[in-house]
Amino acid sequence: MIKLFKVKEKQRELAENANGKPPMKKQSAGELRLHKDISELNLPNTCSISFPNGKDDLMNFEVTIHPDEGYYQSGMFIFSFQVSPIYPHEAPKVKCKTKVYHPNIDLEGNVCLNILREDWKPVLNINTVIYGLYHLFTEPNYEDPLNHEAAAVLRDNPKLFASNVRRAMIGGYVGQTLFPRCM
Amino acid sequence: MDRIEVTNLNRQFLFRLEDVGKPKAEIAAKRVMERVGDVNISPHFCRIEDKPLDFYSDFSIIVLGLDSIEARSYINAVACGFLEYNSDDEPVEETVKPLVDGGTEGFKGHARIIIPGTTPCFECTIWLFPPQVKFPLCTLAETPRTAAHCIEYAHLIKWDEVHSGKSFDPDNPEHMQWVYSEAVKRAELFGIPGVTYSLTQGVVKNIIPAIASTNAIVSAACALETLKIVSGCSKTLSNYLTYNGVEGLHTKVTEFVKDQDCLVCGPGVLIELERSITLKKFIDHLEGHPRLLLTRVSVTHRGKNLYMQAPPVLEEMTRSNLDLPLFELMGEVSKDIIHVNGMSGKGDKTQSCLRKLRVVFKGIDGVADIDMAGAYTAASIITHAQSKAVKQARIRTSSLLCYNYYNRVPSNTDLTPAKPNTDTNSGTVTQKPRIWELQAQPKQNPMLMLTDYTREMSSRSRQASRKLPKAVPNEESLQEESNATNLTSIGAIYRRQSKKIRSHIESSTERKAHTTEEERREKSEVL
Repeated sequence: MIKLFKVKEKQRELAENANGKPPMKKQSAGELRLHKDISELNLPNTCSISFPNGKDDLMNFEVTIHPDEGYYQSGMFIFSFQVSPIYPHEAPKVKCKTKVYHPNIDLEGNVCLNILREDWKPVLNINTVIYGLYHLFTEPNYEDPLNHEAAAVLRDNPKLFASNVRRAMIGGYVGQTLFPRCM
Repeated sequence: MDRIEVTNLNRQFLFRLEDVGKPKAEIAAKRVMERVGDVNISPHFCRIEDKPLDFYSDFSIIVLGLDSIEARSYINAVACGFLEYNSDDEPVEETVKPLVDGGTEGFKGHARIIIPGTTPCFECTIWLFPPQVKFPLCTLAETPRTAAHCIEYAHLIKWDEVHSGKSFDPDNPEHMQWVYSEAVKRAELFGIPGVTYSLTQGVVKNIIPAIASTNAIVSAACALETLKIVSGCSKTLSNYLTYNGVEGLHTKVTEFVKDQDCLVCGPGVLIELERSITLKKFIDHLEGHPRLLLTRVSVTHRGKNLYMQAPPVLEEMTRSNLDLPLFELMGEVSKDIIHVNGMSGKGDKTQSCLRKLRVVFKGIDGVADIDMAGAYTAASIITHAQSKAVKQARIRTSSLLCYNYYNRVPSNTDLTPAKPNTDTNSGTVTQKPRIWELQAQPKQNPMLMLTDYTREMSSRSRQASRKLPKAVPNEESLQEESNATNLTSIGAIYRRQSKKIRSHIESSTERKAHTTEEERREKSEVL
């Protein structure tokens, strides 16, 4: 049986013993799991991470990817991560902050990566997501496109695709869209 | 933060048509206070996160009617945050704040009891939830096949294209209307039927239509369990009830077991430290601590990252903390919870682990924990002894209460240790021994208890000598148990039993009448 009436007394006692300090913020299980993932990050030298809100806000951070091979070699692409309090039950929300000519990334920054949506499992972590994003640049996939023009070009004319990518990264027009420099 | 809507009125019986648009909390409080005298309800119309922690510490029980995992996770963290453990790693009863939680989705629902420190908390069993349905973005963009795909396209992709910057507000009817019209256009383009405004709301807000019966069943279970916890009148649900009315009707009670390593409600490892110890020294100490043996440690305290060993940018930012005293970094409190992450094990078999630690700083006045290194004061010895005796008495009293229903002499000697739950049919996930066993009796089939109780009640009215109700069920009660999942059958059992009671009373009064008749005849004969 629960001693309910004693509970109330004890709470009052605890509050008094706290020396007038306000009860401190609760840390959710999601934040703790994120802390674990971040403290074990093992990134390749092509990827780096930064925390724009300081060392105590791990829920919002940015990852920069510099592919060193493939169509996107020498480019610099920034992704923003937003982690929810019920992480890892829910996947982190990732958006691409750099405008990029890519079959799996649209012009608004939405990223089509299976582990971010339908294939997310709580056993995955931030490291695997970053590896997945890196993989998008080394192996763009024209089969599940968000940007159908880019996908079509990659499928039909890889040489043209390569030059389009270069032009976009240097800064210039591809079709109707202007891409800012990102090298 | 809900307001009453017209669609609520078919099942939320405290509300009327004229209440539409008003806050649910305020109207519900008003209606109940009108009908039930002497009850006092204070409504609060705000988000649960907006209340300070000492607001929640005031209550004896918290009953939840929440609609998301996130909200439940938050309240669970709040309630389990009040829980304290003593030096034997047992929950301190005065700090336990019970939770009663219920939820429904269409024809299915659940009700559960959470007693922090004893039953599993919400986080211990969060793996119960299946992953949310998420469509691949490319399906939404290229190859939609269902009405939901069209709606999600409008919601996730088209919205940003047109309203870049403005965030979508699901409670804003104009936003919802815009998404609906875009979804209709998309559906027409691909020839997909079925996009309606109500489906749009359902997909965007993740709503499953609610029906009155499921909600009534689950809320009745929650109300009953709350009554039992408050009054101690009978054994509570232990500890998770599921209800499924979509294929036939199925209910089940599962006794889930607490996760000892739970970061939210678990005891963690007790660590006593000097106030002077630096963060660096503390981290080194963890490497040698027999229960931890952690290397490459990162430390976090209440959201503040005291030291991160990776990534390099954070390591640099937190390196300066290593030379500061841990007591200072933790806000100079006498004891608190911190979490450490590191690698445990040796050689090839290292694995990462996240551990909860109960840090107690020595030499602070007025600390409740008695097993501190150093001299025991007379006061602390007395309080220690007292708490043990009080604990025994409490267990005795609670056993008494439960035992009354089974008419057994309570034993106030040591309780038999909890037996492992070996009932493989119940589908219990683990076979760990149960930690909480206030009644020293073997686990009984919960259905049995129903019939035992009624048998016990009927036996009280019998004038014959009382027999101990047998734990072994007979054919009749077995049949009753199998029917008992059907709620109407439970009523039938009670009716049958009360008929028995009534017939016994009648026959005994008949006998009494008969005896007085005989007496009169005898008297008259004598006379």
